[in-house]
Amino acid sequence: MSAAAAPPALAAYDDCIDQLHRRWLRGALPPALREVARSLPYAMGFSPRPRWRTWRDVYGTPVFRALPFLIAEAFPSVPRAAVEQLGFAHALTILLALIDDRLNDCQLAFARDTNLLRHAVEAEITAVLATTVGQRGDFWRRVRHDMRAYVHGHATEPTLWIGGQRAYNHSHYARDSAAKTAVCRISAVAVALLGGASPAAVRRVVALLDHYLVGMQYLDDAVDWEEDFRGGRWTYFLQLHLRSQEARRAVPVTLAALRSRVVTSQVTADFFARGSRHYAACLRLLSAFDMPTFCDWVTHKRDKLHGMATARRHQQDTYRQHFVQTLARAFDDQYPIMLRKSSSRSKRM
Amino acid sequence: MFHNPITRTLPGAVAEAFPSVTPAHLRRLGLAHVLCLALAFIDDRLNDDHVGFSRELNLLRRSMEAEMQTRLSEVVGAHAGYWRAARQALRDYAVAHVREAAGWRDGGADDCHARYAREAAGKLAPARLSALAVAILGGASTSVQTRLARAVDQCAIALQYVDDVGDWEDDYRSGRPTYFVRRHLSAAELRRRPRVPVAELRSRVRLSNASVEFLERASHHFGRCEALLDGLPMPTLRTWAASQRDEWARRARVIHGDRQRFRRTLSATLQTHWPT
Repeated sequence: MSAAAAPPALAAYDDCIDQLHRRWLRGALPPALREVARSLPYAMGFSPRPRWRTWRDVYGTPVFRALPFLIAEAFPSVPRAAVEQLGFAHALTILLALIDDRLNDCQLAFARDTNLLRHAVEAEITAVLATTVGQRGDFWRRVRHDMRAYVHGHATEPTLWIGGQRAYNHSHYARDSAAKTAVCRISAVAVALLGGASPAAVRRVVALLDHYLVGMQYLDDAVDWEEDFRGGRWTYFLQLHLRSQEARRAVPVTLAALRSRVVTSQVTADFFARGSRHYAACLRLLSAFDMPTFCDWVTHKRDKLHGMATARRHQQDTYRQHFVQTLARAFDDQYPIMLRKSSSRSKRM
Repeated sequence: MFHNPITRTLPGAVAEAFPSVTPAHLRRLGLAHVLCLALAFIDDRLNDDHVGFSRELNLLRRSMEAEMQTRLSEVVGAHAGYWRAARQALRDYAVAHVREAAGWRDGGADDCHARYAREAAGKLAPARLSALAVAILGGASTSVQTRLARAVDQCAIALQYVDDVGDWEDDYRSGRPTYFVRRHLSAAELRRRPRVPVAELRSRVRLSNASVEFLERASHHFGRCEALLDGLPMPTLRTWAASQRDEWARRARVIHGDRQRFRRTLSATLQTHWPT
């Protein structure tokens, strides 16, 4: 859902979050940090514009940009102001997660100003959440739980990169992907709780978000594998293309070698298909709620990924057919010559 | 880590005046307070390149930050006054750290004690939040909250004065020319590379009045803290502030006496060798 195609209510909501962010930049940060905050999305490679103008430039998906709005459609009793505040907290939460991701993976150099900015972002998130949600024990328990999952997910990830996790499979991958993005669901849970959702409904919201985020991770890892490889982040996608000694880094592997393996393997199509299935699971869970914008978006993503998986399989089939035909042609051309040589050898003998 | 009992247990010391605050709340705020200080120290070390940034350290910090904020939020809830103060404290913190680094870079063009005090209070501003939370939970009026926050600030300023006198060699060696260090360097020397040798600077510190002045100011700020607590039943915090005021005033006198003796000896030696 591009900014142009967004429903008018979502577009108005996006404007409001941008406005809250602008106000925060002006009021909470000294000028030097304000500039850092404005230039950071570009510096991290998330925005085409050198200076922040709107979150629409940074987060292409409304799930990152406006999740509380999407969830609030099913909880109309939540005041508009609360949804907007939680939307602002959500945008900052995603920003903080992206900054930390880049810092942790050494894609962004640690600097005093960035550190002060992330400190200010963290504090503002809590201030907004606390003033909106209050003392609710169930909410803060959930925050703690999600933070623990997030830290655990990120702390164990490098073990996979160095080939330290044997018998890793797709269920581990889905579990770890959900953990790594656990902080994204905090504001959505806040909306559900403020809207009077039952514990079962809250669990359902969490589960559907997890499916969405796992689907996204599948897509990301299949699309960005070269960048991950170059950055030393040997994701599960890469592990599936490595031999055991290579995965343990006992034997080096080149990007060119990997590229040819990726072209011939089924893994990319499988990742797209699995991503699509996670979006489908998200949709099934969404059916219990009245969240039309979210539903539309996930349907679009599910179909798109399914199409990508089909196209990839088709492309591979075509490639294989060509390859087999080429081999067959070569074999047909060479076979009579080889046969003649072999028969003349036998005559001599 | 925190040898100073007041630094370590500030919410407990403040709670003496607010007996209605439950022990469970105090324990939460106590944990939030030590996490807040630990985070401030980690960030200080990271910002000054004393500790290398790593994934594990960053995740630990994130975890500590979240736990601290969760503890505070669970106890204080949506109290608008508290969160206004929290936002202000964080802004002060950011401003102070940005200005501090600018001071190191440009040699502190507009150095003065007022600016130094403002920055010292700002750098430790988040530390006042748990004390403020105790006061709010205890039903303190706005004026009492303001007095308490100012008293904590005075302590923070005093501790910074003491710290900068005690650690000036460390600061200078690691490229943090603090206000104390800058007082002993000319503008040209601040820009010059290689820098003035530590031995040279040590003799300047010994001859200058800055150590005495800084410790006297520390004593003065502890005294102001004690005065601000006047009328508030916080005997532990007040007694501690008064004892610190006296202790640093005494140490300033000792250094002053040493310096006077050193000068007299130097002058006598000079007169012996080059009689007028």
